[in-house]
Amino acid sequence: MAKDPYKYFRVEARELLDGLSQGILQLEKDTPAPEVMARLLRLAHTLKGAARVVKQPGIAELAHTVEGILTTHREAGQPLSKEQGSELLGLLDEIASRLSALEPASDVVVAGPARPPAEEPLETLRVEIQEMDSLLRTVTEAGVQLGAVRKGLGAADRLRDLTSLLVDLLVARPGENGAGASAGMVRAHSLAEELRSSLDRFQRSLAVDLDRVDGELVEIRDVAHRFRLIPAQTVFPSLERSVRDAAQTLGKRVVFEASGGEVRLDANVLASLRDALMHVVRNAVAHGVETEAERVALGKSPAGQVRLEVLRRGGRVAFVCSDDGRGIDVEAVRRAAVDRGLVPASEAKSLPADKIIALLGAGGLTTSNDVTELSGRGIGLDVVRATMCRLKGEMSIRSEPGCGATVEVRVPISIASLQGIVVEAAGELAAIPLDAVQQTLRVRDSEVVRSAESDSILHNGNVIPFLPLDRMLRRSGSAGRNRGVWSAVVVAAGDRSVAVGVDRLLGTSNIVMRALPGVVEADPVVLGASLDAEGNPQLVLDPGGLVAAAERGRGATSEEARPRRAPVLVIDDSLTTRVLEQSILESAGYEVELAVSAGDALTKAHDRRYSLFIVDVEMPGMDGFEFVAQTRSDAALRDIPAILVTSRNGVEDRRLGEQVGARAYFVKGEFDQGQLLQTIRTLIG
Amino acid sequence: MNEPQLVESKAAALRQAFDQSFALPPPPASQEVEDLLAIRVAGNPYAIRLRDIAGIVAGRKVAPVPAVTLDLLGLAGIRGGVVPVFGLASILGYGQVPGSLRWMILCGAEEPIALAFSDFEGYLRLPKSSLHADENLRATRQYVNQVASTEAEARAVIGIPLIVATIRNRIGHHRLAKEQ
Repeated sequence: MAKDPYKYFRVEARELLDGLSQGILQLEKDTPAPEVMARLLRLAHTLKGAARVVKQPGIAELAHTVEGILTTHREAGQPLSKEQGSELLGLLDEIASRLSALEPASDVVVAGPARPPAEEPLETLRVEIQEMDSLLRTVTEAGVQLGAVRKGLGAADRLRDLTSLLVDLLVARPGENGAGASAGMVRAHSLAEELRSSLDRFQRSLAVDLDRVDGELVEIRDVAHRFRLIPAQTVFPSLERSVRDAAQTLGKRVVFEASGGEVRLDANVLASLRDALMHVVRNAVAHGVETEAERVALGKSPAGQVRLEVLRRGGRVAFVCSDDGRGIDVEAVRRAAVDRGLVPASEAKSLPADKIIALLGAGGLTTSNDVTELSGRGIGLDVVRATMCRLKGEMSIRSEPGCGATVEVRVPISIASLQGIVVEAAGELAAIPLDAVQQTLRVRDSEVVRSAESDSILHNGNVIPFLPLDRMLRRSGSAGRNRGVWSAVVVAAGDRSVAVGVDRLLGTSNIVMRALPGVVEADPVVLGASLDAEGNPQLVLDPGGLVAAAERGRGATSEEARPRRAPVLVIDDSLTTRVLEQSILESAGYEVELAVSAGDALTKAHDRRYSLFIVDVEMPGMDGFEFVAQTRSDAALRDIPAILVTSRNGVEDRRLGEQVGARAYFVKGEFDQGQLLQTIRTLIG
Repeated sequence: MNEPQLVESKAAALRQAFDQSFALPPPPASQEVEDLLAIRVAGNPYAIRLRDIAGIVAGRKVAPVPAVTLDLLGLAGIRGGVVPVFGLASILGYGQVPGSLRWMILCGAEEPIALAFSDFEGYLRLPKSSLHADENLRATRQYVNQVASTEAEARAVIGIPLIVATIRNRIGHHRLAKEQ
C-alpha cells in the first residue's frame, strides 16, 4: 500500500474542482450552452466516482449534490442565480477543504473557502525553476557544441576538394614510360575515386544527422521554454472568483473582464502576483465600485466593472487593474495620512492630488469607513507593496473622481519568448520584437530630411524620426557616411513611430530573450539579450527605448548635425590642473567650463545644465567628496555623473569616492588621458 | 602475445598502478598550499587564487552593449547563459590595452561575472608561506593584497572577490541614485 493513498485522487479532484469553479462562474453570466452543462455534469460525476473509489463518501455525497443542482439547472435554461452560484461554490469549497484534510501530515497546506482549489493539473511533475533553467542552459550549450561539429563539416568539404584534385591528378598523369597509365596508377586512381565517393557519402550523412539533431534540440528548447513560462491567464479564474465573492458579500454587482492572458511569465512571479492581485481586485470592488442604487443614480450602468489588462512593457510585464467606480477619495486619503502622521497637517493641505494618491502605496493607509473581512484595514496595498518589493517591481495608482481608479503593477521578467526581426548594424546583430515592427523599407539618402536636432523621413504621409542603429548602439559604423541606400525598420511604441536605419535585414526568428545581467546598466534602447545558434549574445532592442531615443534626437546621421552636448564642469582649485584637464577635454571635442571651488561649482550647476562634473578632492572649503555627496542628494543634479581626479591614492579614499556616488576615480600621479577620455565617453558619449 | 594475454597484461598493469597510488605519500593538506593561476595583464605577471573563480574559458565572442557600466566590454555566451564581461586591465588601472582578450575567468555561481585578460600562463601550486600580505600594498593598490613569490619571479595576487563586490556595489549605488 502506498504511503499516501490519496496522492493521485487529490491531484485529480483539484483539477476537477478547478474546472467546475470556472464553469459555475461562467454560468452566472450567460445562459448555459448545452456543451458547457454537459462538461460540468461530467466533471461532477467523475469527481463523485473517484471519491467513491478511494472510499471518501463525504466528498462523493457533496459531488452528488453539485451534480443534482446542475441537473436541475440544466432544465431551467437560464443563467445561474447568485444564490445558486454561491451554493455550488460553497459546496466546492467544502470539497476543497476535505481534500486538504487528506494531505499527509508532513505537507498539509492551508486551504480555506477564500482560496480557490490549488491549480495543480492532472498527472503533473513538479520541477524546480532552477532545475529548468539548468536544463535550458544545457540545451543551449548543446546547440553551441553542435555548431562546433558543424564547423567540422566544413573541414570535410576541404577533404573532398583535395580528394577531387587527387583524382584529377592521377587521371592526368601518364605512366612512367609515357605509354599510358601503369597498373599501380590505375589502382591509385580507383582508390582515390573510392575515397572521394566515401567522403561524399560521409559528408551527406553527417549533414543530415546534424540537421536532425539540430531540429530535435530546437524542439527541446522550445518545449522547455513553454514549461518555464506560464500564461498570465492561469490566474484569471482565481481573480474572477475573488471579485465575485467580494461583490456578493458587499451586495454589489460587478463584472470582471481580463485581457492579455497570452502574455507568458515566470511561474514563481505569477504565483506571487496572484495573491497581490487578489487584494487589488477586492479593493476595487470594496472601495471603488458603487452599489447598484448609487450607480443608477449617477447614470452609470447598474453593474460595475473591474478590468485587468496584462501587457508587456519593455523588459517588464504590467498588470493594469482598473474599475469604473467612484475613484479615490483624495480628501479622505489626505485626512488619513495626517491622522497616521505620514504628512504634517500643514503640508498636507498644499499637496496635489497625485502626491496624496501616491501615499496610498506608502503602507497602512485606508479610507474605508467599515472594517470588513474584505478590506478596510489597509492591508491589501501593503501586500501589493511587499510583493513588488520582493519581485523588484513597481506599483502606481491613478484616479479620476467619479470615473474610477487604476492600480498598475509592473514586474521584471527574467525570460521571455518572442518573435523578432534580426538586423545587422556596424557588424553586430540585434533583434527588434516583431509585434512592434510596422514595416521594413529601403530609404535613399536623399529621402532623409536633415535638421539640426534630428533626421526624419516621410512615411505614409507622416514625418517620422530616422535613427541609424549603429549610433544608438554607440558603434562607429556607416551612420555618418553618405551611403546611398539604407535598410530601415519602422518601429512603433504606443502612438509613436521611428524608422531605424540598419545595414542589413536578416529575417525573422523565434527568440528567447533573457533579462540583462543585473550588473549591466544598459541604455534604454536595450531590452535584453538572446543567444544565437552559436551561443553568442545578440541584443534585443526595446521599441519604447528606440522611440524615446528618437525623441531625444540622438540619432543624427552626421557629427555636425548631432545635438550639442551640455558642457563638462571641471572643478579644481589648481590653475594648472584646470587648464590641463580643459585642454584634454576640448581636444576630444567636449565643451568645458571651469570652477575654482565646490561652492563656485554648485552655483554654476544651478544656473545651467552640465553633462559631467570632474572634481578635485582636496579644495578649500567644501571638498570633492562632499560636493559629490551633495549633488547626489540634489534632485536637479543627481543624474549628472561625477568623476573624482585627485592626488589622494589611498584605498580608503577610493572607497569613500564610491560611497558618495562618484562614477570613477583617477589619481593625478597616474593620470592616463586615454583612460579618462574612455571613461567620459562611456558615461556621457 | 595473443589477445587474451594482452588484456590480462594490461589489467595487471592497471591493478599495479592502482595499488601503487596508495603507497605514494599523501599530497600536502589543502590548507598548506594555495592553488593559483598565472596570468598576464597589460604585459605584467599576476596571479589569481583558484578558489576565487568558478571557471576559465577562452575564445568567446564578446558582444558590445551600449551601457554606462564602467569597464564593461560586453556580453558573452558562457555555459548557455548571458554573462557580462569586464576588462581586467581596465579595472586594475591600465586603461584600454590593445590586443585580444582571449581568456576569461568566471566569478560567482549566481549571476556570474567574467573578467577578460590577454595571456594565461599556467597553473601554480605554492605553499602558503610563499604568499606575502603587505599592508603597504593594500594601501596603494585597490585590488591587490598579496604577493606570490616563486623562484622565477614575484606576482601580485589579484583580489577577485573584491573586484566582484565593487562591480556589484557600483550598480547598487547607481540604481539608488537614479531611484532617489
